[in-house]
Amino acid sequence: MKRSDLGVVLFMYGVCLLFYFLVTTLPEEAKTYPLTILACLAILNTCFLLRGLVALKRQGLLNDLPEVFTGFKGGQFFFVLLACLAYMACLPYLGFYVTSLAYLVLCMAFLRVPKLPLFLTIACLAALIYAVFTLFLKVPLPVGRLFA
Amino acid sequence: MPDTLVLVSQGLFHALSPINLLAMLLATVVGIVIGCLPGLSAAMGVALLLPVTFGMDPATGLIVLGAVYCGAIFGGSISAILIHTPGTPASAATAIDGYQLTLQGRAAKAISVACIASFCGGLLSCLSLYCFSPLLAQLAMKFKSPEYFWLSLFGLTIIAGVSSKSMLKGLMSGVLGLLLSTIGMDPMEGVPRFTFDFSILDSGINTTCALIGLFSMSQVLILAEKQIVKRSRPVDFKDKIGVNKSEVKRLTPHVLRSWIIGNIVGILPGAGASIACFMGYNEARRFSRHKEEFGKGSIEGVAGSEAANNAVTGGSLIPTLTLGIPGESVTAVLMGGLIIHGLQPGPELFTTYAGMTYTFFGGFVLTQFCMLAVGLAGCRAFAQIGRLSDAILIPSIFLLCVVGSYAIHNNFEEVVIMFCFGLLGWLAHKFGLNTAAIVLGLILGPIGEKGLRRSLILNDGDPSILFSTPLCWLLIGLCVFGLISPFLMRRMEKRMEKQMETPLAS
Repeated sequence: MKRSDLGVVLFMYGVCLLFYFLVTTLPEEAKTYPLTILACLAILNTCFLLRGLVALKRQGLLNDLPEVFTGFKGGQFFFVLLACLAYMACLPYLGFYVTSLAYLVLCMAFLRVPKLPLFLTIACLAALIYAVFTLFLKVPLPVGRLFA
Repeated sequence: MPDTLVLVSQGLFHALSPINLLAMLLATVVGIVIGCLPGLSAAMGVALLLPVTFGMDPATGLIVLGAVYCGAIFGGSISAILIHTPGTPASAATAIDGYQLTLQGRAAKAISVACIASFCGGLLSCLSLYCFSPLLAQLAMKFKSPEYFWLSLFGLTIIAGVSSKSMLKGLMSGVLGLLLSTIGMDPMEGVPRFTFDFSILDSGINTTCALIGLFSMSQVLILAEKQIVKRSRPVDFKDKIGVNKSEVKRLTPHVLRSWIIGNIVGILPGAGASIACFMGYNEARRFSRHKEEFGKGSIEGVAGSEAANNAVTGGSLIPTLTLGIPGESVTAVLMGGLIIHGLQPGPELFTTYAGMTYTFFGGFVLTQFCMLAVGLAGCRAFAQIGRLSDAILIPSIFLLCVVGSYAIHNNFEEVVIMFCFGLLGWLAHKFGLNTAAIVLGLILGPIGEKGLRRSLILNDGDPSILFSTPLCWLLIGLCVFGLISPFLMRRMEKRMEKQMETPLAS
């Protein structure tokens, strides 16, 4: 059995438990359908676990995580992930254009994009988003509580 | 029949309107650019452009999505030929002989053949779209609630089974999608389910947000985890673009054969362009009089692969539009586009909304011409764009994901939902779950639920209604086929791989 498969099994059981807990709060008539789906997921997951257990008996627990995460650049990945989260946290306060500018500069500087392509990318994206979303679709992009 | 001909001609006429032509041209360019960037997929491109189509007439919106789809499938061949890196998996077989031609200084010839074969494959697939869609839609007219329940189950079993390495994982992904589709108001009782007191979830998970998250945001994370490498410079090709008469004569049978292969593969749910290109390539080699050229730079190999992968486009739209069963992830996203415009795949598209549907078909035909012109004229420029670094793509795609999901209802909470689906998509990619099946579960869930619950209400809770008609049994049979088809597909793939290895080794 592979370690990644064990992760999948645990994740799916976690989902089942969470939704089962939520289903109990529903009125009786609304319970049946979600419970049926939950039962299907639990059965499939158990089958997957049983298959894994058979493999475990034959081959033992295989650590395939190094294979799953081959070439994984942790620093770069978590920086991008955190930058995305920070972007979403700042967006309601600083507005779309200011946050986007800060995010693009920060992210591309971290990823070592030379200055000229960096400025060109910012200019192209700003023009594209303004033309498509502001002019064409007339989407009121958030201006930010600080500037509102 | 005369009515259909009128609809076809009217559709073509409407598709020729300046706004449609302009939208088509721009979307084809965007599609080719996305296609020739290794790491970006056609599904990602179509998902990213979904919000842009909101402000458009549904027919124009669908033409845009169709053009991105076709453009991306062709675009993948440019980087496959010039830098030996297929832009999309659909061009993997093109890279074998295309790059060999580039090394021989015949890059322009390879690109011309790829472009013309893609055009022919795509154009011929439109024929099947015109011929088979109304027929299948007529069959779908006979569907009632029990049939819709089985249909949604069939769609799920076949895509979950075929497109994952592990069938159980594929089915689990589909059921996870079904579970997520229960979030929102209960359609029969009017009770909110699993909404965590967020009013935005009362109407369920927005399909567009989920699509952008699963296909585009997840791509940002996939690119972010890898070492950013400088892409190799494409070869500066100086040979002449185009094909001569004798080459046309030599390539025609391969293109025709690949058209049939691509169409059948496209119609079969679960088997996509990535399988068709290898099948087309393989058949081209089997029937070629110049077998020795294969693997060393054969234009027949390029034509066989490219005609097949583009023939998939029209074929895969047939079950998507008529039955609501997308054959692969791109068509699942396209179906999401239909739903966003308030249209439900099925017979209504060929009755109530026939005008819109045939305009889309007309646009799909014209897109092929657009792709030919843009592909031949701009291949040098696209080759340069294909070198765009992931360091630029990562923040740019994220920004477009944010603005796209925000634009749906001008709501920030939907950006958060999109991001959550992005994380789910990344985890699914890492742990071998199937994002296409999750999406299908999300899309088909409400159809199946309504079908099941309506049937049971009609029959006072007696489930025998689900087995009451021959059509129900046909669909049950198809569900069983869906479950055994992965084994058949795996056998076919193995056989093809063996056939591929033998001559390449020799």
